[in-house]
Amino acid sequence: MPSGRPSRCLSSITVMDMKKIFLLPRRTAVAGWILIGLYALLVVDVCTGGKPGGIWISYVMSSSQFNALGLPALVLGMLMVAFSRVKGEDECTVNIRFSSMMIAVIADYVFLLVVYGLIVSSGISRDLASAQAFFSQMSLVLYNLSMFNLVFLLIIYLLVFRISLWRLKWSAKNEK
Amino acid sequence: MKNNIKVQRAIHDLTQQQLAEKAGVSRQTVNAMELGKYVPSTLLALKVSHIFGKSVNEIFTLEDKDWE
Repeated sequence: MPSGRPSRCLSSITVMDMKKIFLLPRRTAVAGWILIGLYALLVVDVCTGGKPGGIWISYVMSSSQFNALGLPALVLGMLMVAFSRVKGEDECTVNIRFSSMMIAVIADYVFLLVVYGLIVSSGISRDLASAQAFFSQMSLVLYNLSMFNLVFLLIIYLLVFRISLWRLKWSAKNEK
Repeated sequence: MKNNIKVQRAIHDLTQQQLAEKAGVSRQTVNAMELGKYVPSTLLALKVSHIFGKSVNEIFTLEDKDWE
């Protein structure tokens, strides 16, 4: 290759450089954990309230409002935690990020395909009329599944990434 | 890929933390490199060999399994 300006291919590779990878500041993770914590508190409140809207959430918003706002808030919180810098962020942690993301994407799609396959296989074995009724009922399940899928990918990514980081720190614990 | 970072650290009387600070990475990364759990980027390998005043080939050497 002639020397001089790098080709378009090379310039896209340099984006992968750990210094140029886009990550949020460390304090963003704190805000993310607060959002996740708030969501968890609200879920516990709704679950233990014994009625839609829970004990004290009903004073703030209705159950449908909670459903509409809760999931985006949870996803936003998880994104903030997942893509903010960790202490001592360097090329090794960036490497762990990429491998964790790959594992999460594979696990997510395997889960999605297995559940989808189970639903479709149980619907196909029916006769036409009951199959149509079955699939119209299952459309809500598939909608909920796709919503859950939004969170599942990030949960797997965060779990794998945090465990890998912990293992890296653990192996370096006794060295000087 | 093998390396002799630990030996070089002993020769230059550097701790993992000191080497990490000089190379601009975390101590965990230096430890992972020493244990052969992490293969550094070309940039980091060049930095480490520069810190020890050696060429990259003198610090990092290929193994047979790297060719498989």
